[in-house]
Amino acid sequence: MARERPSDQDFARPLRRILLGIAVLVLLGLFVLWRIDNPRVERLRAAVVDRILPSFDWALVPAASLTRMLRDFRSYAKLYEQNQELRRELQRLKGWREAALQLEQKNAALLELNKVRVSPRLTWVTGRVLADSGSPFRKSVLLNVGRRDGVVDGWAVTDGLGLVGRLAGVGNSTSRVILLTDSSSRIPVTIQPSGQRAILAGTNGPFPALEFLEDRETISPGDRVVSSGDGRLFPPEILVGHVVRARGGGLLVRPAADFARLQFLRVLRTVPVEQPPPPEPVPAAGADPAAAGPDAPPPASEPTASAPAGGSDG
Amino acid sequence: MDSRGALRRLAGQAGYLGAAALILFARMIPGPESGTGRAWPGPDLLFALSFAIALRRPDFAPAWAVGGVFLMQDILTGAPFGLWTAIALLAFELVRRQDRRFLELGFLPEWLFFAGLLLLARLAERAVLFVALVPQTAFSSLMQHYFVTVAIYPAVVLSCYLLLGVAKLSPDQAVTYQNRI
Repeated sequence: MARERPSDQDFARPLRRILLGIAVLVLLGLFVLWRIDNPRVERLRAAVVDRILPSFDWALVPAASLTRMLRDFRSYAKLYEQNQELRRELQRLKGWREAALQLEQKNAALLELNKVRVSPRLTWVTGRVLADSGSPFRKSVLLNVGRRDGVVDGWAVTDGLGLVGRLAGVGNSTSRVILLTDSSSRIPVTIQPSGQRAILAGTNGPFPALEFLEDRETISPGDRVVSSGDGRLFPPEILVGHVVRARGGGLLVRPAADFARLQFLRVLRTVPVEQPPPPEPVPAAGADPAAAGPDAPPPASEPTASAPAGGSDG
Repeated sequence: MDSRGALRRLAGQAGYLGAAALILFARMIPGPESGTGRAWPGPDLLFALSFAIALRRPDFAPAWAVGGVFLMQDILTGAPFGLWTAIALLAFELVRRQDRRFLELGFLPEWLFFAGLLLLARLAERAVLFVALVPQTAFSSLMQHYFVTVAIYPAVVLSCYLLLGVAKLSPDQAVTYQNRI
C-alpha cells in the first residue's frame, strides 16, 4: 500500500490549517469592515475595479457588440411581424407628434408668461457601459466615466429618456451604477396626475414596485412616474416610467429606460440645493454648500450660471 | 515530486485560473439581461467548477487560487466584501479533506454532496447577512439560483473532463496530493 506519507507532510498539515484559518479570519474581518465602514471599503472596491477593468476593455467591448449583433440578427427572423408592428406604431406616433407639437407651443407660451427658468446647471456626462457587474442578486453596470470626469457618488443616471439608476462607487476612470431594478435601490418618486409621493423599490425583476403609497385608489395603470427630488439627491421631474398593475394587485412601474439595451448612459451633473433665487441678495458662494466635492468646475461655473439668471430676471 | 508532476500541476492550476477568469469575464459582458434580470437567474458556474476540481484534483485548485478567484468575484459583482469567499474557502477545504474513495462510489453521491454543500454554504451566507442586518434578496430567487446550479453540475464536471483533462485520481495518488497548500 502506498499509504505511508513523506514525513514533511506531517508538519505541512497543521501549518496549512493555520494559514487557511488566518485567510478566513482576514476575509471575515474584511466583511465586518465592509459592514461598519462601508464607504471606505467601497472606495477600495472601486479602486480595484478601476485597475482591472480598463485592461479588459479591449475584449469586453467586442464581446458586447458581438452579443448585440447576434441578438439583432436573431430578430431578422421576425422581420415581417416587426415591420407590421412598426407601421402601426408609426401611425400612432404621428398622432402623438401632432399633440406634442401643440403642447410644446403652448408650453413655450406659458413659460414665456411665467419666466420659468429650467435649472441651467442640469448638464450631463455621457458614458459607455463597460461591463455588467451584477450577479443574479444584484443589478449594476460599470460605466467608463469616473472621478476624472467630475462625477460624484449618488448622481442620477439616465439613458436619455428615463432614469436608469444612480452612481454608487466612483473610481478614477470607472464608476458603478446601481440600477433602479436592483433590490437595494430606493428612489423617491411622484406619480403624476395625482401628485402622490411614493418610493420606488427595486425587486431584481424587470418592474420595480411602488411602496409607501398613501392612496392607491387615485392611481391607475398608465400614470406617469417621475423622480420627486425629495432628499435632494436627484433632480426632480426625471421621467422614471409608467404605472402597471401586477397580477397580485400591487402597483409596479414599467421603466421608461430601455434596460435591455443599456449602452450609453448619461450621468446628470446635479449640484445640490438649486432653490429659486431668494429676493434679497445673498453671496452666491455662501449659498452653495459645496458638498459636491473637491472638483474645481462647479464652484467656477457658479457665478456664470447664476449671473445670466439674475440678470435677465431683473 | 518529480518535475513532470510539477509541470502537470502548474498546467492544471493555470487551467483552473483560466477557466475561472473566463467565467468571470463572460458574466461581465453587458447583455440584455444586465438591467432587467431574466426569468431564471443563471447558475453559479464558478462554485460548480471549483467544487468539481477541488474534489478530483485538489492540487489544481489550491486554497490561494480559490480565494483569489472568489474574492475577485466578490469585488467585481458588488457583493458583500469577502463573506462568500470565506465561506467558499471553508467549503472547499471540506471538499479537499474528503476521502478519495468517495469518488469511486460513482457520480450520484458526488452530486448529492455538491447539492448539500452548496445549500449549506448559501444558508450560512444568508445567516451571516441576516445577523449583520444586510438587506437581502428574496429567498425564492436564491432557491432558483441554487437549483439551476445543482442542475448544471454534471455538465460542468463533463466539461472539466473534456476541456481541462481533470480526471479522477487513484486513491494512492490522491494521498500525495491531498496535503498540499
